[in-house]
Amino acid sequence: MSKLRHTDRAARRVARIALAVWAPCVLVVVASLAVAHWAQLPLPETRDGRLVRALERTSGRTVEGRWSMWHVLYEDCPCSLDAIDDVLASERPADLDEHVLLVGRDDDLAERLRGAGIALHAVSADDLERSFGIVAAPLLVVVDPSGAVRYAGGYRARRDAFGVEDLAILDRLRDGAEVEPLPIFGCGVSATVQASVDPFGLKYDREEARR
Amino acid sequence: MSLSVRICSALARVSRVFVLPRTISEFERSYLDRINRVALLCFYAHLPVFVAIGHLNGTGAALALGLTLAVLVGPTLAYRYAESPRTTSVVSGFAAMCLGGVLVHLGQGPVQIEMHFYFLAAIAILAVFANPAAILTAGATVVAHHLLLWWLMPQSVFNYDAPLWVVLVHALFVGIESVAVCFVARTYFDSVVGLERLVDDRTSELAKRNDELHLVLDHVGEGFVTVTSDGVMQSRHSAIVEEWFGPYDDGETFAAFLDRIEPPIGSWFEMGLEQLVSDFLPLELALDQLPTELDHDGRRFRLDYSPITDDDGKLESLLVRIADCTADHEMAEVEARQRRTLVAFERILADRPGFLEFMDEVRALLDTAVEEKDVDWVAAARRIHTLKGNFSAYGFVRLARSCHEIEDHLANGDTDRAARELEALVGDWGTLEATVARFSGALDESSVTISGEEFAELVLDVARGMPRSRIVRRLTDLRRERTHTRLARYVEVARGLAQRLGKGEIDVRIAGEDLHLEREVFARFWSALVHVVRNAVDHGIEPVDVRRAAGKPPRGTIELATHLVGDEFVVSVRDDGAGIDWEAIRAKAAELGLPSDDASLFDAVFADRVTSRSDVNEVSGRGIGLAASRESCASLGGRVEIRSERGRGTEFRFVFPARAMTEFPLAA
Repeated sequence: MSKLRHTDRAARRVARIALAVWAPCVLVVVASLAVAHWAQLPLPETRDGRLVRALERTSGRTVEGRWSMWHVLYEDCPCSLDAIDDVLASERPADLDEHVLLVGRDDDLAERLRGAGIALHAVSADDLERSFGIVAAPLLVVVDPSGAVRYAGGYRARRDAFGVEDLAILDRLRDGAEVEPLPIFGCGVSATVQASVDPFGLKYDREEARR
Repeated sequence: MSLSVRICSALARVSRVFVLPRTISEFERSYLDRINRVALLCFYAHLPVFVAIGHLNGTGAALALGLTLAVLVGPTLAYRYAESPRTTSVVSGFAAMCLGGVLVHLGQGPVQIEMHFYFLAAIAILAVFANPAAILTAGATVVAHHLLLWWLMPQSVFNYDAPLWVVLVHALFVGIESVAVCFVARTYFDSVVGLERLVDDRTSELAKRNDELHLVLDHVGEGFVTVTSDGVMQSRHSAIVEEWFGPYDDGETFAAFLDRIEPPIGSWFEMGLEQLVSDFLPLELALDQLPTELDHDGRRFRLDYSPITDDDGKLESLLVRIADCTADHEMAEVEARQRRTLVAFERILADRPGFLEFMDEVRALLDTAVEEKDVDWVAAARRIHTLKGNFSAYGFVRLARSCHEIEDHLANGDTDRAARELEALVGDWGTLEATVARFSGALDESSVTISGEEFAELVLDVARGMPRSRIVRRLTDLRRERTHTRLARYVEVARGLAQRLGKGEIDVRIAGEDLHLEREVFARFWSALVHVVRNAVDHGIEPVDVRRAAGKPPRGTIELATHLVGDEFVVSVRDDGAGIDWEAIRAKAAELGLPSDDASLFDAVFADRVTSRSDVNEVSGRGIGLAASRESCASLGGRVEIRSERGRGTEFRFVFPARAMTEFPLAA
């Protein structure tokens, strides 16, 4: 009886210690998950011409003379997939030259893009950062017929908005207006950004993204 | 009150809302065990749902599984090992917020904001733990989460350049809900979950007040006892009751308790309580039937009763207040003795020989009664009845009442109490005798008192050469008693009695010849005659309205007379009252098993306990007085004649041989 009581006391002591460890750990983990969602992801630099050059290299031809739209997506980012779903669900302008830069591989998406007449270009996360200067997805880039990047930013004004504003942005740009880039609601693609928003590696498989 | 004190007071009040009492009642423990088990099951029910959301929303089923299990570790450990169920509830509050965080992550996308409603719903649901600490913990978890976010990445809290006020609005809503739910939880605790403890607290508080009240009752010098309607003493009573009368047994009736103290009192109380409970008599009248005095261990106690009734007026219990009135009683005795002494001196001043004779008669009657009581209480009762009449006639009301109480005890068959009362009466009378003797050494009955007028007349007769034999006779008569002087003593008795009996003013006349008698020879007769006078007033003279209705003068008349008729000396008492109701006498005689034929009715009038009255009072009604007068008459060789006519009056004639008066009965 006494032994049982002693065992019981010991178990309770261990349980108390376990709870004391558990509570802060869980709190930190959950907080880190939130950080990944709510952190403002960085936009690419457009003034140095690096982005335009990389796009031209990727497409293999000059983009002058037509409006072109680039969708930068990340296979492991649900927000990227949501964005392209919305894009494909809309009627695309015939005079628009559209491309997708995909970090990762998605055959189904490739098939759907082909059907929509959108060119798909696979790219690694490291190359995306190094060549394009892009570290987060989903990113929308609009280049005007003169070859200037007129827009590089997110698809939505709010995280919880339904639909994407790519065509509205294009229309405003064609009308000659300047459009402030929307924030990127999505995922970090570069190792640096992923490490900062997902310190415990719960959200991103970084090694896979590097390949 | 200073501001700081007010603030501290307000904080204390607020903290009382959020902090539960330390003790956990059995009901609360049982309730929390059940609700904690349900909460744990609900937490585990999140598992498949979160996995499904993670899978469908592309955030990963495996991640959802791992994160949810990690959160469930806490409530599982707490449920299994926490000593206090409140601890488990607090851990559940924390875990609920963590699960909310996991859900927000898993539900990312357009509905991620909506997932935040989980927190508000969860905080509201936490009220079921009836513990503000669980809600405060949940709120604190949210605060800690945001502080941690801010520390990890400030822009994640103030995202999209959200200003501070926007963040504060978010916090405000969570804060308002948390405070409201805390209030609900505390109210739920006070009204339901913690009610048992509340009842216990109130019960303890009541018990404490009862103890305090009992402490007061134990020190007020009076005893309080509550008796249930079936007569049982309740356990809580003043300590002094047992100090006075000894311990009582659990479940003992108050009657039995009293009987152990003073035996007849308990039976008396029992009968009175039965009347009280039966609701036969009006409440006040029934209460009057209960004993009011109790003698124990040389002390006297007064009993007062307060009935405790229900809404219908039915007796539930009886509060008995017992007070030691020994001091009051002794003071009353002192006052009574003083009054007796005063009465005695008034009597001495008014009629010294008569009073001295009265004292001798009382002493003789008392001594006789004391002797007779050991042999024959009936004979002793006759003396006591005579004494009662004499005391009453001379204004010794208290002594007359004592005689009446002795008669009551005898009527109840309680000779022990009667003997004790008689002993007390003898003591009281002895005290009066001693007092009178101390203050009046000149009351030697061998002395002769003569008025100045009489003395001058005697001197004149001697100077005129009155014959020696006549001078001797005159001098001898100075020691004798005049019959009119004696009869005059009854005049005041009769008038006072008529007033007391509500018969108004009456005329008392003294008639016949003023004769001289040997004082000692007729002392006993005169003593008994007072009963005849009292009977004339009490039985003979009708109330004024009856007399008027009968066409009589409103003032009744009693005539007291002494005559020498031939060789017989006659003392008569005549009234113009109702006359003797012979049929009532006959009925009473028959009731007592005495002969009741016409020839025996005369004897029946003088028989003990024969009276035409249905009630008994201190004045008359026991039928003993007339018997005593007849007996004393017979002892002098006399006889009694009764002349009575219904509606016209009654005359009692006591006829003695003249030689009984004195050797030389002389006209005045």
